[in-house]
Amino acid sequence: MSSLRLTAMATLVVAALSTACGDDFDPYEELTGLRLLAVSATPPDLVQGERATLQALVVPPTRTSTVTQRWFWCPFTESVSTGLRCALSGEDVEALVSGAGGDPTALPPFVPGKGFDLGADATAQLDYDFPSQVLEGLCAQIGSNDLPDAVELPACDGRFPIAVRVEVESEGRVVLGATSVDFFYEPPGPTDRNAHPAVESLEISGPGLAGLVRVAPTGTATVAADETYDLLADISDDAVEVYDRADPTQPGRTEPTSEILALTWFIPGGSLDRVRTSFIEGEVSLREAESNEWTTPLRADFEAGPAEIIIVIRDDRRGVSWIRGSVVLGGDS
Amino acid sequence: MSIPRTASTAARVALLLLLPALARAQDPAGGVPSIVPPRLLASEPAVYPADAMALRVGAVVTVEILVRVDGSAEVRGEPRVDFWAPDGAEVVTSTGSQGFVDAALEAVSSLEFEPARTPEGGPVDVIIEYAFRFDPPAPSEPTPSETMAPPPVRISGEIRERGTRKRLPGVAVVAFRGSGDDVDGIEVVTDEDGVFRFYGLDDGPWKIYAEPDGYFPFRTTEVLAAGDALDVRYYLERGRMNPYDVVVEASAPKKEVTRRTLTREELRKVPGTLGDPVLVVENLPGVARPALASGDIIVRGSGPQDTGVFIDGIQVPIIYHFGGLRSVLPADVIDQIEFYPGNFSTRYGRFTGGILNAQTRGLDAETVRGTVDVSLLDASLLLEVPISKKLSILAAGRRSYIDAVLGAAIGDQTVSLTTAPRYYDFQAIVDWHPNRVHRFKLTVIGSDDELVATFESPADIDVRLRSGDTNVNTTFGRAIASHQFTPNEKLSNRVSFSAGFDQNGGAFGGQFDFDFDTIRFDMRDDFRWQIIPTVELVSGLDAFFATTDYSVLASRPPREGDPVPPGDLANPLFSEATGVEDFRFAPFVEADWRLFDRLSVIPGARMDYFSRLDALTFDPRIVVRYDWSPQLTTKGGVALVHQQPTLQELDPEFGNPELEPQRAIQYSIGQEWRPLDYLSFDVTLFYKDIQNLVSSTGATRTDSDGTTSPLVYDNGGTGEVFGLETFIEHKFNRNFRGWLSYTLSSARRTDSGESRSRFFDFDQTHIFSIVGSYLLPANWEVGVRYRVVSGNPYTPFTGGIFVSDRDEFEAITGRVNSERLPAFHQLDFRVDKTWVYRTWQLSAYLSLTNAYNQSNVEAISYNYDFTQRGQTTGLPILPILGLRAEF
Repeated sequence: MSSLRLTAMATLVVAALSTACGDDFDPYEELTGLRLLAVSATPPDLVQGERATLQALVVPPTRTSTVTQRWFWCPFTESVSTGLRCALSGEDVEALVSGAGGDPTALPPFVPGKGFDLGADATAQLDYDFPSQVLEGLCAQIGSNDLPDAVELPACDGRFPIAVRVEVESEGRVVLGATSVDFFYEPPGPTDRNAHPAVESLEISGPGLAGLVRVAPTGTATVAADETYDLLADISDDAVEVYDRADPTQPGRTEPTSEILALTWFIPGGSLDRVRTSFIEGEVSLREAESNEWTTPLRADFEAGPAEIIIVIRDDRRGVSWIRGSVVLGGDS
Repeated sequence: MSIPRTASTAARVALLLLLPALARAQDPAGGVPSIVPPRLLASEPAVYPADAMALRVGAVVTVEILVRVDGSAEVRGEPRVDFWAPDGAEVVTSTGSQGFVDAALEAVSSLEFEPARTPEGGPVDVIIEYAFRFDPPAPSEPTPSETMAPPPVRISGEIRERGTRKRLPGVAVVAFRGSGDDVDGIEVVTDEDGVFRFYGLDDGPWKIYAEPDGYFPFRTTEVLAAGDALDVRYYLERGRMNPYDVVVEASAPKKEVTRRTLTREELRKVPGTLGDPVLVVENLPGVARPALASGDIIVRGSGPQDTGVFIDGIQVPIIYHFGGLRSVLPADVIDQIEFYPGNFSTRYGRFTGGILNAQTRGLDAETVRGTVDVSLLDASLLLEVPISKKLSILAAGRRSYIDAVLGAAIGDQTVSLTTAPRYYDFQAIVDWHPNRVHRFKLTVIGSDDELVATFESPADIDVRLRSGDTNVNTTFGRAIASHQFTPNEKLSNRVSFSAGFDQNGGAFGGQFDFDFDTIRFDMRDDFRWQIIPTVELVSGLDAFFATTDYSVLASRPPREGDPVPPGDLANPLFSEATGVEDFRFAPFVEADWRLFDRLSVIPGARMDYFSRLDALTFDPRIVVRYDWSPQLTTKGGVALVHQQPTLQELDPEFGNPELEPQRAIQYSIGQEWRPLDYLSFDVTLFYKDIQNLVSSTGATRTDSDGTTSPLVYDNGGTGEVFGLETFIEHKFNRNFRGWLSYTLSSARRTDSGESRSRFFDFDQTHIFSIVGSYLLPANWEVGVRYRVVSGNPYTPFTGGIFVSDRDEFEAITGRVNSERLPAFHQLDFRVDKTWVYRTWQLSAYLSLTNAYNQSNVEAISYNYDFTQRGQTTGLPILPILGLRAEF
């Protein structure tokens, strides 16, 4: 399997070089322009009869910019290389749903390539309001239908991932986002349901600040140019759930596993010690995941005034939440 | 200076030999008519010289004689003397002519011939070779000299080459004294071991002088005290340490449309290759420039897996170490590289691309020799020890320290390289040739590449990683035992057996883990039989058996045409198996039929059995070469080749076990022109039709239990490659060697279910390179390489979609390979200087890669959401200094 070896080599080289060499692009962690930072469904998974609230974490290009969002869902998508387009036509879905015993007339309007329209509000509702046997039936039909080549087939392991698509637009620019929501068609196990992890609070300390200062949504902690500050995210130990993770090497077997928590840090400028921090049981402690260093922008790049710091926290089961805080880019230290 | 030869005194005739072969007629027209040779009518016996009495050696003096139309004989040119010992066991030291030449010349005057005649019957002058054989007098026969004591050896010694310590045979060494007309001296010639002896010199000072062609003059003075006998060793320095004239071997006649043979000494100093002969292959026609640090060998647009790499005819998994900067065999172990871009002999098969075979060298050291090579990349040591004249051993090893260099480059950032890329390799060769008929060789080679890295913040790489630990390693070893049997010039057989292992493993971030362990046995036999002067038969067997245990937890590796690795870290696939057997067996036959002294027709066939596919394939091939003149040859060939899909493609989880062999029909036609001995032009048109190409498919399959799963791959792809290769080579002459290579080609494929073709990943329309090295006085050498190559096709990213679960944008791709990177061009320099000391030599080189610091684009980079494009450029100007000591 020489190609596997080459892939591994290439991945390592790319990883090593990408960490060793910078480029001239805007850094991921810097909040400039229209940004889509997270898409969440609450709860992250549904059993029949439940409803999920869909929400996007969007940062507009300016404080006064108008942002619009439009939501869609689709049971089968093409590959990510085609932008996770909905792989089926409305008629295909109706036929599949009918074939699986569902009522296609209850479905929302269908937009080709995007899916069923869930509206253009800041949040959207995704209802699991059809019999779970529909999903079971869809799984049974997979392979027996002429699905398009690029369809990403669901695993059908007692849950069915429903793809959610959001289109965010502001000042003529559109950003596409996607997530998926697991619909259980079999009774979930005791640890199968997920809850979003959360960052309880965000604090900052450093030059000119009196100890640890809470960064609230309307915070007034003032930071100076070209200085390094400690950022601290407070995460409850309870945020780490233990679940029965399927062992990919032994089908049917699970083992209790702690969730991975990954924190992505966003700043108005300057640089971070690490763009992401993570908690990995036995590898990286929660305390390490909670802390980061922020070096504020140089004076030449320093635009005085309030600025936002955002932390997005994710687990490895589609759980996601965020915390937003504000500091003031002010005078010298 | 006049050196008188010692005079003959007495003796008797030994034997007279007339060599009947007619040398050449003095025909004014310069033709070579069929002539009746001259016949000996009368002769006087040659007299055994008195000077040789003390030694009692035998000799044959060969003289070129002009036999005139009147039957008289006249000496032409310098006579040649060959000595032998009376008992016939060992060749004795040659000590000048010892009077044999004078005796022979005297005898020539007595010769009387019937002149040679033309076919029409007229007499004609001819030159023949005439040999006088002198047998030493038997001890029982009293001779005048027997009453005298033999003269003592006063000075004995060896002549060796300075720096390399090679013994120099055939060197005239003169001991003399006096000056002007009053010179007294003796000339002797070194024997095949470089040994000489002076007998009977008087006491006192003697000047010693030697000046063989190609060497600086050597002068010294030895003083002989009464009763002394000196034992000396003289080192002569070459006028120029020219690596190109070290190897003088006639290359085998070509039986392929295109075969490039690169010898080690020729290629060690090609700029930009860091002294690695294998890397030189990249500068040959039909070979594309590989992606940076990939180490791929891309032949005529095919994928890297389509070209087989061999060492001594035995397949190996890799030919390059990590990053493609070094081959797994150091230059000092390689004898030559054979490279076939297509239409290769039936000796090879199972690959639809090209064949690269690195041949390890035979051992010929006269004394213990070794090299130490140190560069910024690695250090190596080689030791060659002659156990006897017929048995030698070699041991070599190399270890890189790229880990230190790269570690310093990366610094203390987010990745810590526990074992940054490092490699080592070792080689051992035992070469035993008990006689001319048998030669046994045992070659043991091993290679190990490893990289271990720890990402301090795994989430910075990917939020789904469960660990920061990452590693990958590739190890292989082979023990190749071969026996060459050459009972006569018409018959030979070479059989090789190899046992070895391949190990390839790795892990990535606690999500991917793979391990492959293969035990492998190879057997190859090449039998050659010259049935009649115009027909040679080559047949043999090429077989191997391998058993593999593997376990893979990973996403499906990207395939040709995939724009980005489709790795799904959260949902890797898993497959494992033990004892996966792979047996391949291929008898082959090939005949080289020479017709009308101009036409060579080389039909052949090969039958391959693939046990994993339970498939038997038949590959007929033919090559035709027509020599319009010794300088001009037209050539062409057609070949069918088959190739088994890769292990991954055949895996039930990762691929499709029902795949069939890929096949390709290769066509070539071309012209070779050699206007000068050292200058040749080669133009070849080629076309390759690829069928059954393994291709990704979205189709599904229904298993026996009724479950449905993706088919993943099928044999629905096709491919087409065609082009023109031009090679102009200037072999070493007037201190210059170089070549120009240009390839114009197109490589396209049509994937399964697609109606439109696209470029292969490695399609490069223009590939041009020019390479040259020039020897300067005082052992300086300069080299230059310049390359211009079309950029590779690539698939553009037209946008991105933010996948929240992964916290990253994923690329939305455009049409596969629909755009092309900018052209690559680069200039490389190399300067070598060698200092020659008495018993060793030191070389230093400075290699300057990318001399004008061109920012060549290796890939297109994008910002995080694929709304901005940039360019990832290759290595900047890179000076590398190296030292090499040879003793």
